Amino acid sequence: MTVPPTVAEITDKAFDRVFRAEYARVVGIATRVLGDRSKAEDVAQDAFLALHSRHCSEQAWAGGWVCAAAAHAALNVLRADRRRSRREQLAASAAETIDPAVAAEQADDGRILRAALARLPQRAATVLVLRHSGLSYAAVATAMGVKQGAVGTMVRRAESALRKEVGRAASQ
Amino acid sequence: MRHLSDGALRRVHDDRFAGSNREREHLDRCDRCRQRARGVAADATFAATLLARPEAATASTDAALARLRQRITEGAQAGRALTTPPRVAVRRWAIGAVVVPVVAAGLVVSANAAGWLSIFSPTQVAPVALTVGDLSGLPDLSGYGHMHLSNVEPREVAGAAQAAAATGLKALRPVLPADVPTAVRWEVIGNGSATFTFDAATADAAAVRAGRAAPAIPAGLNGTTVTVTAGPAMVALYGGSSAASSDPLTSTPTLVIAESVRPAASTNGATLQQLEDFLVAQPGVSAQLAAEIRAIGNASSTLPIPVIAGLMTSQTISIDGVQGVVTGDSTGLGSAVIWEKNGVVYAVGGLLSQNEVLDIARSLR
Repeated sequence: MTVPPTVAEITDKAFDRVFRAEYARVVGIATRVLGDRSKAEDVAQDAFLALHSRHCSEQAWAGGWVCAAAAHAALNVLRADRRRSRREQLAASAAETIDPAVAAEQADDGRILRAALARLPQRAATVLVLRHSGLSYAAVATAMGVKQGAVGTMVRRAESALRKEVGRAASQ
Repeated sequence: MRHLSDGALRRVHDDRFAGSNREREHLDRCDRCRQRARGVAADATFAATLLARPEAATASTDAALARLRQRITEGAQAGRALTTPPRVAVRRWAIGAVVVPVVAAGLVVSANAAGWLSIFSPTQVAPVALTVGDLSGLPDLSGYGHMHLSNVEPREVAGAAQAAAATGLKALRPVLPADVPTAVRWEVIGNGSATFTFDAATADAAAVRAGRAAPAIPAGLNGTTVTVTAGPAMVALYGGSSAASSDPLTSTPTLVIAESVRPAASTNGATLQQLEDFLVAQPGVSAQLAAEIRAIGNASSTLPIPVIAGLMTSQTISIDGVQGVVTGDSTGLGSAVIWEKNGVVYAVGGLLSQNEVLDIARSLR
């Protein structure tokens, strides 16, 4: 006789499925914010641990939830880091995999981006990171808890604010 | 037609077929919209350039999953992480919701003619810090006796007037931030109750099944029934579609506003001192948790709000002239504020910041 799976077994399978489907994207989201692969992987671990602890991974919104949780957590880490110090955060692992000239250029871009993200309102920074990490308008709406029709406006305003912040930083 | 909105222009930048035929035709012939579209495209390209990162080789997903599984296992052993499956976790939460108020109730405040002692009738709220270890270690009451929960399924009603009529509560209306949907659904929940009867024979049988020593239930406690009642209640859900939606993605509300007649607890046998002494002494109720509960002060009139250290933040605030508790998800994803006034417990929560839920709560009229 086949023994039916327990609730725990079903839940574990659902969690593993969400982890495998979303892990690379979640690390990508945190890397965009932090510019540090190692820190991003730690943030991803914490986001998935929070998902495991608090929610049933069988929910269709589990993937969006963990992406948003990672974006929020990464932005919080970024702001805390900036408060503590001004140290460079570019990942050594990332620098090893790209051309040194490109790495130097991107290190500069990374500093500018992180400074601007840290100054933007949390929701604006989150919507920027989620959308530019490849989440669809529908997925961003779910992750942010807003209507899908509002996402275009939120993205537009966030991109405009980002450009102004970068311009302001460059002029200082 | 009117000019395209900024949001519509941004969507068209991502997908030129987004929007209606009329919008596309308008964009083709409106110089002003085309000029705005160029500005939108420039900002979008600028952001995409800054946010585009070369994807260095990612760590193996399998290795990352193994690392996470290891953390979950270690956390369970150290009592740092909640590793129980959701059904068990929910049951423990429910048990915690019963145990904490019962343990918190330090005084017998009145007795009615039927011999039931009213042991808990809160008039204020206060946070109680729990660790995840506390939560997963709370005693499972099913090993001590019989529990019965009355069926309290929420029922959707047509509107605020019907919700007020069904519950006897005033349906409050908030001032909403611009990005919270104004579409609202109303649900009502009738009177609910949970009873728990201590039974030494059940405790013995559970202990035999689990292969461990039976908890010693004092003679005065054996046969005592504790009843917790709550409701009626109404819930307003802003955003998200109806529960019948086939897509759970779209059924998650952005904001939830709930009101409930305050809960109350009573017993028909043992004194509160016996209950408190017994429950606090159980394995899994840490000395810290017991101290937190005893530190509440006027426990029989205070509704403890469990706050899990490391996963949630909390602070007491003043709202509508009384003390409330605002709690938040430590990731910043969601927040809630809870307070009690004139026999009604209010809760406002959602995928919003603490400031936003506080502003919404304070705008209720």
